Amino acid sequence: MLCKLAFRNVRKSVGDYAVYFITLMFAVMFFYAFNSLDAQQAIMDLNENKATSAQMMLESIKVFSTFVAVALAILILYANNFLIKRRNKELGIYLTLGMGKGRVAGILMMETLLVGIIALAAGLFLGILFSQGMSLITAKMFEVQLKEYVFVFSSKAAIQSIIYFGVMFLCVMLFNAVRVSKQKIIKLLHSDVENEKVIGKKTWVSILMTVAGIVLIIVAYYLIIKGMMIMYLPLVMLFGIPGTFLLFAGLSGFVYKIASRNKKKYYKGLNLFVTRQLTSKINSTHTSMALICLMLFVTMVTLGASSGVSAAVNKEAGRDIRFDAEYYMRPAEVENAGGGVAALEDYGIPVDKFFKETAEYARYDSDVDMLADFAEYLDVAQANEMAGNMDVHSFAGAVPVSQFNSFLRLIGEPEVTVGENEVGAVVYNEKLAENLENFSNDGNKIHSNGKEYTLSPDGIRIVNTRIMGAASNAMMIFIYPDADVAGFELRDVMVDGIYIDGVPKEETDQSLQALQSQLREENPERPFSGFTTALTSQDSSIGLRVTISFVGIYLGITFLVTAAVILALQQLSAANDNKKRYATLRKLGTEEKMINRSLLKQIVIYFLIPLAIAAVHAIFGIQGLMSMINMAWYENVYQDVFWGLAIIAVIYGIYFLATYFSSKKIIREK
Amino acid sequence: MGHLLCVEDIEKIYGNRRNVTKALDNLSFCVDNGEFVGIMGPSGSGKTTLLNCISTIDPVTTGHIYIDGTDVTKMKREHLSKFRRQHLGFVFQEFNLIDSLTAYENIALSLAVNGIAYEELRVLVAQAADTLGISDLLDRYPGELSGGQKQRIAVARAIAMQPFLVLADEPTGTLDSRAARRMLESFSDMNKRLHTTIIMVTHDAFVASYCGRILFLRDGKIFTEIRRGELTRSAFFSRVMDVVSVLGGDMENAG
Repeated sequence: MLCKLAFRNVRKSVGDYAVYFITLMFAVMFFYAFNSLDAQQAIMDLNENKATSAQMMLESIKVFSTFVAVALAILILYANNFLIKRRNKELGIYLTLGMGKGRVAGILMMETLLVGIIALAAGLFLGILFSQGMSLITAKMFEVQLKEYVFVFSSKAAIQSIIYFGVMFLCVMLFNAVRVSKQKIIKLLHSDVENEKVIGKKTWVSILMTVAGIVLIIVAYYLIIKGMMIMYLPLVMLFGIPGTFLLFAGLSGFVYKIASRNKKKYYKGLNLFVTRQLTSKINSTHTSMALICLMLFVTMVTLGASSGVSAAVNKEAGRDIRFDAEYYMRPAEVENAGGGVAALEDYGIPVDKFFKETAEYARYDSDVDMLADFAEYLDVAQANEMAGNMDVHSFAGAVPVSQFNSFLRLIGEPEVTVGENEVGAVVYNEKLAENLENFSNDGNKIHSNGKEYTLSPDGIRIVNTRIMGAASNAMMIFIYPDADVAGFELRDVMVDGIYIDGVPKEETDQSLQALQSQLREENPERPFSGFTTALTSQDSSIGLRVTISFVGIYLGITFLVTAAVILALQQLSAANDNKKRYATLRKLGTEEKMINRSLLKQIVIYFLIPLAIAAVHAIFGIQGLMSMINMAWYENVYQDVFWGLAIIAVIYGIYFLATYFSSKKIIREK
Repeated sequence: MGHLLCVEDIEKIYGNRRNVTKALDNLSFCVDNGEFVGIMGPSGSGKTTLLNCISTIDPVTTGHIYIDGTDVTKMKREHLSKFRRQHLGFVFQEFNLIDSLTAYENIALSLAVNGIAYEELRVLVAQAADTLGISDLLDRYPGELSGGQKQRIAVARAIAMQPFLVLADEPTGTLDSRAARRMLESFSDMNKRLHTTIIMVTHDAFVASYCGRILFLRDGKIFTEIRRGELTRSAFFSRVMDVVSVLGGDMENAG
């Protein structure tokens, strides 16, 4: 009997609470899919480099999974709360019929269990399907072929999902039981009569709160723009978070004040009804709206920034590198052997066997402080980066012209000639080159070595000098006359090379690395401190990219779904509570079209307010984050950020539509 | 003075072929401009159905209903709601006020839905509030008002558009006797001073005694009709009670 009642109730609820049910399924689905990534990896043909970076991704996903589980648990409790509230009357009737509280709690627990099991099963099923597709995407991102098509099932992830969500449902069941046993019958029966308290705060209090909120938020923005986000992150949060809460707390009074100012508009059609509906809803839910706004903000930043960063990493990997391998030689060894290549030969690497051509040059630290000398010609972001990167003084690099020309020859760039009081420059993006040109065209001189140098515009080259990553280099390297570098501190000697023709580069790469690890076992005293090849760098950058994208998508979607679900449930419960108001409108002869339009307006505005405020937050947040992660190659990743935002628009839009159509159905109920 | 409302041979049939219920059976009557008509009858006699048919919420099966010369049974659906909005005023047993709006806004909303601009709306709300003596309550929310006050707000809303006809379905149903009396006095006042035509459904003989004419329904037909004429209200009340006792004792439970 208990089971039958519970089962019938659930069947009724499936249609009624589509939003809740679908969300539960999605939660299980994503949770399973992301936690089964290690099983998906197993079927891929990953080389050593890629396997290491895959491991990194798995570790990070694991860390964030705990967080996601907690967020989902809170979401499910909240949704459950709404479910119970809508059924208060029904529960009251059971109690008046003489059913004991224990049995009513039993029915509820049974229902929760049933809903949970169905959602879990459906979610796992979808998750397993989804993970098949995901392994294809992962394989594509890692740029590998699947060994052969295998149906992936991770029993570990499945068990993990079942345990996580099982515990969650258990909590919900207990929560419901406690709730029912504490209820009074009369309250349950009359719960639909109780009205929202409409009496709000005094208008001037609301306006004061809104203004204070806006001021706090502007202070937070100011700190971000000034590039102080890195140092003052707690401070930014200290201003931004209470600011957002204050803004929402005062919003209803503020909106009402503005909307009712223009009496002609206010008393037109259903405008006054829509305004009152919205303001009373905002007034009673302002805390959760502020939370939603912050969640949406985090979503935008993670989705937006992760696609931006991963695009930047991608760009970095796809940089135009026109040589295959680089050695960072130790200066002492080079001097002993009488040259970089000679030192490598001495160590046991037959350079000619692997390389068609090599170039070597020494790199020094100059005495030119880029920040002090070029301040007026740099962007804020560039200046920030230097300040954040290398203390307050950041010195440009220095290379002797004749040695550096050998490198330029290697990569097929025109050589640089410098006169006695002239220097050339190497930078790695066009923006910087442009800035330097402006600097010299304005007649500025570079003070260095106790001399005055002119920067010859013909001597500026935009090239990537390192495989390791542009950010590991100074932003500018000046090309000095050979004699003039003597006074500078020697950093290291670079040996760069291009592999021999006729053999696939992958093969050369592998045999060179094999030889080097063999040599290392025999003699750990190597003449170089660092060695990278273009192919290795590409592989590891793929790993970084995949990690950033996956973690970003995983977290972003969790936050987004949470925010959207809360908004949707709030609007649905509003529709449920206000059925009578719509019935009255209908009795007054209001056309159905007009009523639907007013409902649409309410939902649109209710969904848009937190989204809009979050979007403004996010513009500043992403900006701050981008300069924080030191985007030296930041040229134009913003268009990739829009892809992240497109995902947000789609998911948010789906929930918006579901809310509108369900609300429309609810307000038509008698 | 011509007939404001004419009901001609209307029938309302519910149910399907196997189980037919005639809620209204070949019913005809007319109401003149400025009349205050009561409709009484035991439960199931078709009072509320009749009111719904007149108010165009429920279509009749056969017959015609003319309101101010317009045959509303021939009107298209999209015109009906506009007609209803502009020319009919409704008072319900449950008040049907929107609790998130102030009294003023409740009255204003029904005008705003009709496309009345603010300048005119302001005047109409003030007039209606004045008629019902509720001008000092306009800033309050329904939650802060008593039942009687709420119902007077609802009546003000019904007459604000200055409709041809006010239709009231058990308007005193949820009020205590003092509030009910006050409410009925405003009704007769409106009827006498403003010549508002009112049709009121009730099962309470005392309430009905405020009307100028009472139609008694039984099984979907007009059983009889009595006019107050020059009688005092208490004399009219005894006549109503006489008819009620003939009609059958079921009146107390009627809804």
